[in-house]
Parts: sequence; C-alpha cells; structure tokens
Amino acid sequence: MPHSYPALSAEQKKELSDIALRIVAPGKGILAADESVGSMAKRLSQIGVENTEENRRLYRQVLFSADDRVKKCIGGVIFFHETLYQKDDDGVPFVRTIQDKGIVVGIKVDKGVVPLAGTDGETTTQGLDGLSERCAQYKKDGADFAKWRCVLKISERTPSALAILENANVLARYASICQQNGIVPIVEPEILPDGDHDLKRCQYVTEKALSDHHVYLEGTLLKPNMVTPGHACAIKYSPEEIAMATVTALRRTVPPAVPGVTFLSGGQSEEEASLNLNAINRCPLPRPWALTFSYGRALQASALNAWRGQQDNAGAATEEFIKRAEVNGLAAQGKYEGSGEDGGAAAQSLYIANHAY
Amino acid sequence: MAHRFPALTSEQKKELSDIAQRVVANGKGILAADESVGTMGNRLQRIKVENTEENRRQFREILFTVDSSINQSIGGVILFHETLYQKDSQGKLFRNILKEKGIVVGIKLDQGGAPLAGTNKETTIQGLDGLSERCAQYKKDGVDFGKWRAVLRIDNQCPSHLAIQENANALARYASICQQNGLVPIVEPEVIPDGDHDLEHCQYVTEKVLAAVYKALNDHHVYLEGTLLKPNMVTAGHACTKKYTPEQVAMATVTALHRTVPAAVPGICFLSGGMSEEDATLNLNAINLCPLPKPWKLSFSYGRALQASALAAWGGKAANKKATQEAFMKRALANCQAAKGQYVHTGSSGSASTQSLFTACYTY
Repeated sequence: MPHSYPALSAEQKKELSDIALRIVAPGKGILAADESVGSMAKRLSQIGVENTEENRRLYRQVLFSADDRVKKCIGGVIFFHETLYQKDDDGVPFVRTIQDKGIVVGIKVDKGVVPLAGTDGETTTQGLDGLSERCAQYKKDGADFAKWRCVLKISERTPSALAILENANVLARYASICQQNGIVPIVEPEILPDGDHDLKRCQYVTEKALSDHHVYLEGTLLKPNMVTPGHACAIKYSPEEIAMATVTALRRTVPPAVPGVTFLSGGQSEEEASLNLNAINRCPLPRPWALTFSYGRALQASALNAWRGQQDNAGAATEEFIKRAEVNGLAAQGKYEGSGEDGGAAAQSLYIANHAY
Repeated sequence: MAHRFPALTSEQKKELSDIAQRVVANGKGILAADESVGTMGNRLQRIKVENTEENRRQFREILFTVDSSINQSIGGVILFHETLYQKDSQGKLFRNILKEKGIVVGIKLDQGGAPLAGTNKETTIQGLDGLSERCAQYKKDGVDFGKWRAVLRIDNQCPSHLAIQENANALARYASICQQNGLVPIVEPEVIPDGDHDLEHCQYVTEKVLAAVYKALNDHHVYLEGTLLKPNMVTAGHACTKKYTPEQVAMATVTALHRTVPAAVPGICFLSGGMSEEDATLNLNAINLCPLPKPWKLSFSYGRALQASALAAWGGKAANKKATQEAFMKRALANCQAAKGQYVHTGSSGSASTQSLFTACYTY
C-alpha cells in the first residue's frame, strides 16, 4: 500500500541524499567541532587556557585555517551554535571559510540530556521544542546537516526498555523535523563504553523508530560508537577484532539505504581511533555503506596540545590537525599503514567517564 | 520482579494521590480557565470585548472572587501562565484567592502542536524542553497540578499509528516530569469531534488512543494514583447526521473507559469539546447514571461549558459582575450535581447554555 501522505517530495529527497553523499564521499569524514561551552571548558583547562568566547574563537580558527589539504579528507564540520556566527581575524565568517573549501557545514541541535525517572540514572535528550523553526534558520545560515546525541549506558540493568524506546523515539522525531527543513540528520545513539555491549539491540530499535517516523534513510547518516570492550575490561582486543564485531553489528541492524556510518571516537586515543577505523575498512565482510569518522577529540587532541593558547603556536597546531585528518582520510579507505610512533598526545587515552559533550 | 529504581518515594506518592483526590472529591470538578491569549481573543471577540491583558484579568477576577461556596463544586482551576501571576483590583494574587477557598491551582504546561511529517496533517505536542525546571518553579508559586493537551483527529487514515504512539509518549514524558516535581499531571488525549463519523467509530478510536496512553504511562513509570485523566466523551462527529441521546453517549463513553482506564486512576474529568453548557451537563449526568462498573470519579474539566453564559452576561461591563457570577455559579452547581448523577434538567436554560460551542479543529 503506497503511502498516501509522503513526508518528502522527490526533490527534497534528492537534496538530502546528495548532501549525505558529499559528506561521506570516498576518503572523507567529519570534524566534530561542536563542543558546547561546558565541554570546551574541560578541553581548555587541560592546556591551561581560560574558557572565554575569544579563546574558543581563536582555537576554532586554528582548525578552520587548515589549507586545501583537508579538502580531500574532511567532508563535513559540525559546529556549535556560537561558532556558526563567529568570524576569523579578517572578519570572514567561519561558515564561509568552510564552505569555500567545499566542506558541508553542520550544526549540533540537541539541548543536552535529562533524567528518565524510575530508571538507573538513564537519560533522554531534549531539544524538540521549536526545532523546526531553528532548523529553518540554520539552513538559511548555511547549515546542511545536523547532529543530535542520545546516550545509553550499559550496566547490569541498563539500557532499560524505556531508555531505548524513548531515545530512539526522540532521535526519530529530530530526524523527521530536520528532513522537513532540508537538513540531513546525523543520528547518534551513543552507547557509553561501560560494559559488555548491547549495540545490536539499540541499533535495531533506532532503525525501527526511524522507520515509524517516516524518516528517509538515504538522507541520513548514522553516528554510532564502534563496538569496543568496556574501559574496565581486562581483556585487550586487536583492531581487527573490534572491526569484526563492529561491522557484524552494523550489518545486522543498519539498512543498506543508509549512505554512511560516521563513527564517534568516544574515549579512544587519536591513533587507536585511526587504527580501528582502518581495520573496519579492511574487514572482509560486505559493507554497503561508507564507513568513516566523525571525530572530535581524536582529531583535535594533538592540535590542542600544540596550541596551548599561544598564537605563535597556531601554525604548528594546524599542522597537527591536518596530519590527523589525512591519516583518518586514509583509514576511511583502509589505506592507513600505521604511524610506527607511540608517543605524545596521539596514543594517550582520551577517556573521560560518562562523557557529556 | 520488584522495580529497583523507584521513580517516587512513598511520601511523594502520597502527596500526589492526596492532591488528585482533593480535586475530584464529592462531585467536584475543574474549571478550565487556561485559555491562551489567542483563544481568549476568540471568546472576547464574540462578546465584542477587546482582547487586552486588563480585560482578561477582569473577567478572571469576576470568576475567582465568586462566593466561597463555589468550593463545593469546583475542586481545581487550571490557569494560563499569565493568569497565575495576576492580581485582583485590591492587589491580591488570584492563586491565593483560589487557595484560600480551598481550590487546587493548576497550570497549562504544553506549548502547542508541531506537525508530524508523513501523516495526514497530524500533530504532536511540544513543551518537554526545560519542563522539569518550569514545574519546579510553578510548584514554588503555588501550583499543584499540570495540564497537557494532545490532539488526535478522525479522518482518512487518522489517527495513524504514529500519531497515537507519539502523542501517548509525549504525554507520558510530561506526566513523569510533573510527578518528579510534586505536580499531579492531568493527562488529556483529546479525540476531536471534527468529522462525520458516527458514535461507534469514535468509541473505537477512543479505546485505541486510551490503551496506548496507559501503556505509555506504564512504560514511563508514572504513578497512576497521582494522575487525572481528561478525555473526550465518546460522541459522534459534528457533521454526523445521526443524533444520539445522552444515554447512548454515556454508554459508549463508559464502555470505552472501562476497557482501557485502570481502576487506580482516581478521577476522570471530561472535556466539553464543542458541547453546549446544557449538553455537557446532561451527558455527564447520564454518564454517572450508567449501569456499568465505574471505579473512578467521573467529573468535569470544562472551559466553554462553564463560562459561556457568564461571558455573555458580562459583556465586558463591570456593572454586570453579579449576573456574571450567578451564571457561573449556576453551571458549576449543575455540573457538580451531574457528577453525582443527581442533575435535574430545569428546562429554563438561557440561549447561551444550549448554543453549540463548536469551533472547528479547536486549539486552546
């Protein structure tokens, strides 16, 4: 029975699908630079820099002033609201700088997590009120995709059925509203790395909710965690084992219509995140979607460390960022040979308990 | 399997359950005076009064300063945000006037509809963002219950499965958040009367909707004894040519409820939709006389059906205050009697009380 009340016209579908494919074109992934003011506070305090609007602007300028080398490995950048309206030292809006490099501009639209009463500390995510109007404005202001993060945690009794249901539903509402406004929704159901994984169940329910809400899958991207052991797990796994578990889970739950899966890095170090992504792209199982990155910390840790708030270090910091971007661009094609070095910020674990972006 | 992460302590449960019971004790019901600014505009326009904040204040003042004996028939009043902070002409806060009469103060919490893409013009309701913080503030400001209206409509392929699930889920989230903040949530899943469907179809749809709502409330760990339900009565669509008696409406309504509403719910306070004042009272009376088992209080939460005559009597003139209050008191008493199955139709109702108050696709 054909659907009598189509959510999108053929033109709208084409626009969404084209945007999604541009972001995850071969060898490209996403820079997640959408840290909220609170999250930036943590990052900056680690390098002894004060969390002012100007410092945040200067830091993002370090990243966005990367030269054309990033064009081949960065397909999209996720902005935080404040950053979308900031400019560089020459008065050029960051949005324009990014767009001029042929990179798609995205925006974080969720408003953080709130508790689910009657559960073991589980949450849902808010931000649906007035979302359509906000999306329409962001679209006018240059954004073509959005991001919304839901959080699930694994413990003896979680995630509960309610948490899965509620988070999947809220993701689907968000996705539906984005698409109505010409914005590609990145759907992010993050399962925090605290136990043995239940990725499959959560992924499946998310897909079901997207279907119930008439979301056009070809015009979405999925941002899941990789399947990894919990941080307190004593057993160590190779990138190949992580890759096999991850791709297996995705094959069982993510319809081929989804054009790209852009992994979050969670608490992985820069090098781990690249090695794992590389292994995923060399996994022998059939993989109908692009498998790439949407990394925050795993693209920025070395850059942040090199910068330390000093303008004199800006150039060197930008180089660090470009380096990680190129490495991940290769990893997204299974072509990364590994760094061979094991020092500094690249290998340091970036795990922070119960991370809230 | 006992639930290890209880949403509420026994003290919190007791507080909620006490509030709910106070609102519907002894045939009392609710005055829904929470019309938004836009909706008040419609009401005032009909009596040719300008929609200013002062006029809205004046009309509400007349209602709330009525004689204290109103507390025999009105257990709760739902306010709009603006009204919660308004005062009478002596500078006394409306909410204190009501509380001193022993009436529980409630607040409208939803923030209007948003479209559901891919449906035949169906909607869900917004208002969850920052709701916990708003509830906490309202509780401090003297409010003890909240109200949230979801709208389902009957039409080609409506209500869809998505609309039912989404609205039920939003209602359950709202209810959970209210209870965390000591507010009793009034859960209002209205199936609107627009359309030409018959009584039987409305009953079928109402059952589907209520079943989904109670499943969602259970999934979200909502304490039913600390809630109230505000449903539509089961009626034919407004464009339906067949006419039904109050007894038929009553039987269809109570049948739907006893198939879907758990006995733990202390009270069901019907909305009046587009019914005239008199029909709203007659139907409520018939509902309370219906021979089926009825483990909940069956009462009213009326807006138009309590205020139409009063508005007409007022006409915007302070000199009409007494007549306005009498008109309001009369409907309040009539509905209180109806909530006990004791209403006797006098036959001397004025034109305002029988006039249909139907407005297509009503939004508060």
